[in-house]
Amino acid sequence: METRLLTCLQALVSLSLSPLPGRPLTRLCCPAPTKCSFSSHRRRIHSSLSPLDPRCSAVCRSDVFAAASCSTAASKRTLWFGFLFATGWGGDLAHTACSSPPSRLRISLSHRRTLVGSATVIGEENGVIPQANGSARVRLGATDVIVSIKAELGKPHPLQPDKGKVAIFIDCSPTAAPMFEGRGGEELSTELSFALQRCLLGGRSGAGAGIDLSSLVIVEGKVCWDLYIDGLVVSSDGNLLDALAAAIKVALSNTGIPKVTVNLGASPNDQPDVDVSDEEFLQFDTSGVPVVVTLTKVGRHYIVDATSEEESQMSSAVSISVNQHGHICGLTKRGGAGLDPSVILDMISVAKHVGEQLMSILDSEIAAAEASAEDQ
Amino acid sequence: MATNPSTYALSQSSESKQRLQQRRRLFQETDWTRSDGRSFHQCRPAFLRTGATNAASGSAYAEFGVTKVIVSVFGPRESKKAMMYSGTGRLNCNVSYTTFSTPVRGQGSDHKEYSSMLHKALEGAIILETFPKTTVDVFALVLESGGGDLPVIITCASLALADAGIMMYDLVASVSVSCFGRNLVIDPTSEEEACQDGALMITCMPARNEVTQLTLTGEWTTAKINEAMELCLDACSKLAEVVRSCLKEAASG
Repeated sequence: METRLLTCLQALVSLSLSPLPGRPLTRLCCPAPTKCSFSSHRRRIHSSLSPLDPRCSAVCRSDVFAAASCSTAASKRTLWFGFLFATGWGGDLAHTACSSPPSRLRISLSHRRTLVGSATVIGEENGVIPQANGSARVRLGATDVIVSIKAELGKPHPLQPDKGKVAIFIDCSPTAAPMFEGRGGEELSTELSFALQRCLLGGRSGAGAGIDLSSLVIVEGKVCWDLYIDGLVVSSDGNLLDALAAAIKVALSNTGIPKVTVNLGASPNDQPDVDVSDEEFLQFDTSGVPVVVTLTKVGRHYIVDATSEEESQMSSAVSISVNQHGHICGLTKRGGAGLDPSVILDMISVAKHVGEQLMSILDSEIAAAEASAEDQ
Repeated sequence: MATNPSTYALSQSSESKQRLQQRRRLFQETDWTRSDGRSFHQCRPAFLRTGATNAASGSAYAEFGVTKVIVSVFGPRESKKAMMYSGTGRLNCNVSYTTFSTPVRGQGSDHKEYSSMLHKALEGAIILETFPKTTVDVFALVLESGGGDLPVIITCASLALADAGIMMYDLVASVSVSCFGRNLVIDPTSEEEACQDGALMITCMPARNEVTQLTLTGEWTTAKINEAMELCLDACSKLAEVVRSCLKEAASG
């Protein structure tokens, strides 16, 4: 393995010294290792996960830097070796490649009572709205999304009287990209909304749902909470679905549902009297909300957290939502090109691995953001 | 005491709720019989015919159990003037339900989600390069919804496309499975779909062994996904054979 690594490195050095800036992403690798990469604005970390046998792989992008990684699965643990070569002006010498996923993930939490729709003023108290709501803004590199959650009192669906309702709407504003104007934005918006519903809300019977719908019921068959999850794409640089799903998870953790006191009417047919408290709030348990990992197939490899530049070259992409138990809660495919069934299974195992890491990062970021919000 | 309409409505809904709960309990058991007497891994009998409508360049009718679908394909015809120039052909898909297709009278409007899913399922199979600057329209109409609507629509649409003479890499077949506790039930009816824990739908081109569309809901372990995919792919290749024989029959007859 050492000799293999050495060969890889030698190849890398020769490549990374290539003087052409902006050359396309070149990958040198031994037979088809499983790839995933996380990119940052000027930093790119590629890692290789190989589930079967020790392999080594190398990834190079000459205008930024090159990294080589080698892993072994014999001990069921991935070893990371990072090597960086400063070749362009933006090259960062001090970094070593690390096993931590999305380095470009930044989360900021808005204060609970932030005005819906104006979550850009993050952390600022914005007048008091009687309804409880939560919101969050997630930035993945240049991708910027805002999610607001509004809880309103409603009536349960007659066929599911013991369940509340959750609706997810995504809006791709033309301010983010000119192609979002008119029908283009509409198509993308509906596609994202349906994908998120499929990934986060689970099956018909509620199995695998991130949000426990029965917890939203106040009086069975009469009163429940309608949760409106509205996402807004402020700026788009690829991987919108993952960013939106992460934002929804953070926003839910930030959401307070007001405590209600119910006065049942005299006869069972009367609509019960519901008194909404504006002081006491119930917090959501978001540990069950899955994270979404999108694997974009570019050429023969697939990458996570693709930028829009990378997405423009994709043949297809598979979005997989993973919950805290490592179970798959939803899956959708985008892009026309067909995939071999074995590749999909391979993607699922990679997504599970990446999802676990992403989940732990998100959870710690949520905890940190909450702590800082409390300090204020 | 005279029954007033509100109590009547209420008792009916509680009755249906009870029935639903009963069914849900039944489906959680390891062994139960399906309402149409099939075994868990047995698909509904498929009936497929080409030439359902006259005006279309190609059309097909599919009947899987009670699910009945008509798909018409128009074109290739000139793309709308407002469309940007495209060196490859365009595919336009639309799925709609009739107002009488479901037990509760529906709106009969377009089904946006299914339309986009149908588009994604087919676009990978059609050789779009063969009709540049033009558009092919695929219109699907669900006459009766009886479960597994989308797989039936997709399979029927691929037959209609073949009937219209649109170049494709392979016929597209689609099958779904429902998950109930530890059981996997192939080709579910709408009754089963209403209580399922999870669902997996595969659309594939069997001759090329390529999956063009895959959706999954509910909580799944990897082993279960594996099992379900195998089951679906096997059923898909058998279904593609049925579609192929229907085409052959239409060509010879």
